[in-house]
Amino acid sequence: MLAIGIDVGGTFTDFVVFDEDKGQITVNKYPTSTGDPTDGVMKGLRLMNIDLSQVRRIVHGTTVATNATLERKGAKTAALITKGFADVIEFGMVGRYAGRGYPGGHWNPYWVRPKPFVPRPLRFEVTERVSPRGNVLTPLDERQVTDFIHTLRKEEIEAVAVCFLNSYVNPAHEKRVGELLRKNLPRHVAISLSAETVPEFREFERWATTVLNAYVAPCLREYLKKLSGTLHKAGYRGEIFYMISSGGIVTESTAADYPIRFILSGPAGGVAGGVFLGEMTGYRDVITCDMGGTSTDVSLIKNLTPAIAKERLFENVPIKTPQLDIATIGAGGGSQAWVDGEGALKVGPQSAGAVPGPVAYGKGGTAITVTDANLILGRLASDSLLKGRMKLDRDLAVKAIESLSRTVKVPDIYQLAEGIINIAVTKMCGVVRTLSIERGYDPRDFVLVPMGGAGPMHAVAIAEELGLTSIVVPNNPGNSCAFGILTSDLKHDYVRPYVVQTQKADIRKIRSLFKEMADQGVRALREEGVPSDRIAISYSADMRYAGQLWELNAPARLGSKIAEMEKSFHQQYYKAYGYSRENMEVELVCLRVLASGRVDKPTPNRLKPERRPLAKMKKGQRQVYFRGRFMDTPIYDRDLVTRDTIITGPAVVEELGATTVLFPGWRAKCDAYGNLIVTRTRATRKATK
Amino acid sequence: MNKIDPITLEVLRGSFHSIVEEMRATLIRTAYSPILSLSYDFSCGLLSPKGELIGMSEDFSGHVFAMSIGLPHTLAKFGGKLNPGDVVMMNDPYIGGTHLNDVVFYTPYFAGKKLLLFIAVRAHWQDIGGSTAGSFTGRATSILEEGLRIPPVKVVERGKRNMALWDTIFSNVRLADERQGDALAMLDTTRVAEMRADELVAKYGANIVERGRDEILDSAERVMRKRIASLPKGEYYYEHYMDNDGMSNKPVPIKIKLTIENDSMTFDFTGTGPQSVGPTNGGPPIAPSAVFVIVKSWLDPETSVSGGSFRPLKFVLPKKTMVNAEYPAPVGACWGLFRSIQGATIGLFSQVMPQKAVGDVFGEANHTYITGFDLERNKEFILYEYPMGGYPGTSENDGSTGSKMWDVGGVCIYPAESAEERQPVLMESAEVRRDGEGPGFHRSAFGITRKIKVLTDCQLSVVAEKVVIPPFGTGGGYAGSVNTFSVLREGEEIFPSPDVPGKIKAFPLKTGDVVIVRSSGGGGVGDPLTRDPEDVRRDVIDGYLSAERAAEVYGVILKDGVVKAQPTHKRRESLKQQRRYFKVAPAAVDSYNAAGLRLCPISPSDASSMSVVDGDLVEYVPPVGAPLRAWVVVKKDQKPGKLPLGPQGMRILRVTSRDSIELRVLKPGMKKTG
Repeated sequence: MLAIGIDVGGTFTDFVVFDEDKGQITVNKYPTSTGDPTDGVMKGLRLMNIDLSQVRRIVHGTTVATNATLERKGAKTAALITKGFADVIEFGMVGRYAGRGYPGGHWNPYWVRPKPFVPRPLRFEVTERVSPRGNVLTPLDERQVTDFIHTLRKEEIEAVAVCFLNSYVNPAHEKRVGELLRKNLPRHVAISLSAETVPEFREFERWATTVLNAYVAPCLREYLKKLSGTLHKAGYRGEIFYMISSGGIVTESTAADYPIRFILSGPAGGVAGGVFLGEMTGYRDVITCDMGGTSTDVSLIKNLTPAIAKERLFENVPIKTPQLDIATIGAGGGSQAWVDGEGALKVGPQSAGAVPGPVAYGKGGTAITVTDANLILGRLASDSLLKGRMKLDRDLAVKAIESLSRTVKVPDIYQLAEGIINIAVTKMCGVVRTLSIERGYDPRDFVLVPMGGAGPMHAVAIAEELGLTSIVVPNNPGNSCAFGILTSDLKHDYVRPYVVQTQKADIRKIRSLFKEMADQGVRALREEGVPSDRIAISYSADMRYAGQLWELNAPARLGSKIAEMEKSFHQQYYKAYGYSRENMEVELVCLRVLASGRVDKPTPNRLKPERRPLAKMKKGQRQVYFRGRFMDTPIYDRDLVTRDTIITGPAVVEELGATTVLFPGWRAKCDAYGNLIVTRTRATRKATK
Repeated sequence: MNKIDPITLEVLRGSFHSIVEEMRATLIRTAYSPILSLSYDFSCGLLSPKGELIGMSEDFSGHVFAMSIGLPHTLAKFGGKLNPGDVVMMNDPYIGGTHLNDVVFYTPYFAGKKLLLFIAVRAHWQDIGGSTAGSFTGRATSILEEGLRIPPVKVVERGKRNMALWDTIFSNVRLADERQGDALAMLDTTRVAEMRADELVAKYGANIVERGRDEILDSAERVMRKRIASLPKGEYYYEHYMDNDGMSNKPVPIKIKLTIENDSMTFDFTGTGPQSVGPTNGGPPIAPSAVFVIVKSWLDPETSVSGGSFRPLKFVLPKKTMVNAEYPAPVGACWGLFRSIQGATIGLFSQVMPQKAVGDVFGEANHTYITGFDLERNKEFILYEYPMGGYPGTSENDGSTGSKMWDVGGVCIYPAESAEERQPVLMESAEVRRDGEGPGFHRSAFGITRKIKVLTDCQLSVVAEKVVIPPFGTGGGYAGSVNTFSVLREGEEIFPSPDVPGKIKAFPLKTGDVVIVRSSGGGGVGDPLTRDPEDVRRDVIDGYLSAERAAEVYGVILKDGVVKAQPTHKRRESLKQQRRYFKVAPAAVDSYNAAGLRLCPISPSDASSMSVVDGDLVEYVPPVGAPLRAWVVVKKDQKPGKLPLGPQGMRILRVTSRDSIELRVLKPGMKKTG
């Protein structure tokens, strides 16, 4: 039987097919269809001659919801909001909501706030009010709600978000409005209640998430239905699993309840792949670096557990749901070099994209890109890409960099090309450091896993900049996302607010909330067909020192006593910031449960040790530029590299979707599964502790 | 010294920036007060040993450049002798601080024996002692009322915390535990920067880092000089007014003469009002940093920010004026002064670069303190918000509602759910302020309306600007609304400080009172009668603009949500007809009263037809650039239809004796809208 991972990206749809009987993995890449993405999926399956009746499991990653948000093509959405607060979803807490990778408008009087997803006339203010303790201060005006529903029908609204203050403590009003909406609106209208979408405090983040959840629900639902219909018609008999932004997978029925979880799910597959690779190779602390054409996604995995963000900004809107913390940096292979008003050399965030692409594509690009710089330095050859199916024109690139070299007054074009790469690398490393410092980790304790077409090319440069000593270049680094989603477990996460000082907390209440969530998780997984011996439940609590504003998640047990939870929090705090304040009061904010159901992982066969002389793996030799000089460098074909082979830098290892560049001072060893374990052979620079 | 290559330079610049980003991340996650962790009212920076800024991020320019200006004074205090492991603490406004709440920690960073950088963190402490909770109020008459003034002192000496100093400080502030938590977080933030700087030095060597540091400054200077050289040379004037000094309701003037010569600019503040008795004062950093924000945003917004771009700017700040105050002048309203100076600079640049039109900014932070004792939680509480309005209109676009200014990040109101959980209040609204915009071809933001109900007897303090004199529009754009602060008590809206609007000290609130803050959005740009009627209609449909205002101010007539072309055309023509133009009558001197306020002499017949009396505020509106404000004096001997203007006024408005100029009556503050 087969298991298939399908990841639909903006440019390519990636397939990873795992033949469970043979332990064999096949990968493929086809252009994503414009218009209906299911066409591209079906076409790819046809071209690969897949017999769908022989497929046991399909796992799918989709950016349908992401694109609907980016292109503002979601549903016609209305919102019912507590009186006085209808505009909060427009301007939030009066900030610009800039964040990692988002333009901030600093120094720019011409900054304009992006339009909210619900226009003002479709925001309805409801008379009702609940206190922070959950008491009803103003009863819900049901007559008013009924009047609003008339308007919603008349306006042919497709989705409704219900956003009331303090509903995280007492959701009764939201629930009642939900009932009224369901009873009186057509069935296809998507309804999101804020207390159900994100039962946590701080209204703006909760409401913004709820609104977006409603906004993407109809188009996502339609897509899920279409894909499942098409696959089943074509003979597939199994369940389709979907990758969500928490890094777990869900079934179709659950997926329809979690539209918001799809928006930032795109790069989650790569992270899952990083975890799997870490398990396989024994490295438990991993930084994944998925470098594509326009951007690079970076994530941190500590002790085989990916860093989780409770909140991320997307399109200037906070999305609050447990999700992988992935930082996206506007620097990739297509990032262009340019000169600013100060005469300073800059790289990105402008990108040449696929069209016109780098100068060397010969499609009209004139600005030198990171990819061009690699070509000029010999790290890429004219025929390196897609096994020569895609030609690069080095002369064009050289001409372009000569012109840049005059502008920026660096006469040596090779020095300039290496500089362009280093500037892009510095940018990425700055983000990696911020990502780790936010959690109190030292990036030097991690192993780098480069992915994407451009990742392995820059891995050594990144590792050197960050002071890392080991890199693992996975098999098929260009298809890591599709591979990762195939290795992901089923996951359901739950949260219940309980804001109280730990010393005043009711331990019975904590246990019953934990229990309630755990039961819910087990039920959901059982319904998805997971046997009980494959179900794992983990408990945790968000806590803070009384008076602090940001809480930290600390692990707990179902039977945890208060003192044990406090201790766990102090420990987490110490880990994060290097000190803890054990004499201070601790506050509980919410309780969380994660229920996961383990799936069968595609374990590739171990390679047989096979003696093959290095010369037989070599496909050529060329001059490659490293740290200021050209060196005669052997080029190897990764498909021919056998287990336990050791390749010493300088060297380049080429394969279909990627190129690994080994600097002098680094060497690669092929492990039993074909991964390249790249390590430093000598200190090329002092790494300070 | 050899020049550094552009690649290493860019890598170093990127690294300096990342260091500041990491400092920010650390402070946000470890601080105790909402003003730091949620509002980000702090700034981090790397400075050269002379105090010039090397790297900043989304930090507040008002904080950062004050760090630069304060550092030389700090060094002088220690005779230039600081040691590794020292941390100097300072908040003295007269030598480089801002208001007392902003406390800075300077840490010298040495590479071997070489002093390479200063690491600086400035954070707003929610309280620094003084007469009221939150420390500053609109009605202080001495800095001693505003809290502890800390001269440059070593809070850490050679790695050892000075506990005598530490304990003394924290025995004199409110909510001391929270304050100590914040101070420790500031020290941690410094340590993160030291670690990263160590790595940088290990990788490149101190000499290269030093050269990179200097070249960042030099290259920024070159760009700024080039930009200045491209501007029309000459002298420019602008005069702007602040509501009052906090003690009386008399406006105070800010006067700036800008001289552009070759590649440098001089901003001369001679003529600006004397040091106030009340808190509308600032020390030496306030005016330069306010001016710099406008200069940088207008001339060179795209390159990175560094102290090098500051070098071509010179300042004349006469002693004992509002912009260079001395002991014992209170400084609590220094950010009001800061924004007003920005407005004045926008007025200057509307003449220098008329193509880049932007309306005046909305005023100030609107510092709103609700403080008291929380019986339920058995502790003091300080709810501190600063509901800002949004952006002014510009030549390119409408201003966006609900945002802090472009020189500062973070947020400025708190989630209702967070505020209610911590303090005895009930939030009643956070909404767009209907009809609160500065009309124009491109209108400003609408401002916001914030309502907070108090659940216990407590106090209200406010420090705000543009509560009386509204922000001006540019290029024929109209003035925005003013900020208002009121209390709704048993159905009646009362204004706690009618004698000195916007400056409220410890007004007693009763349980059930609702504090209402309405913020302004700034000035509009261009004639609102030329605004696309469809854009006006959209604002009406959105409910941000009333149909009445659409008709009265924009001349747009709607019926059933549709623009009626013919009636709109007619209304616009009639509104145009109603505008009052006066013939310019050149006068030998500009006419000001003793306090430095411009006077507008007007004949009794004109006064009566325009319904103005002595002391009313009017503005002269040129077709391009910023208007000039003046106060009406009805004069029997003044010829009707003529407007005497001195040479300065004529220069500001760029009119000649052949021109006529529109005179608009401004309805100053305290009238509520929306």
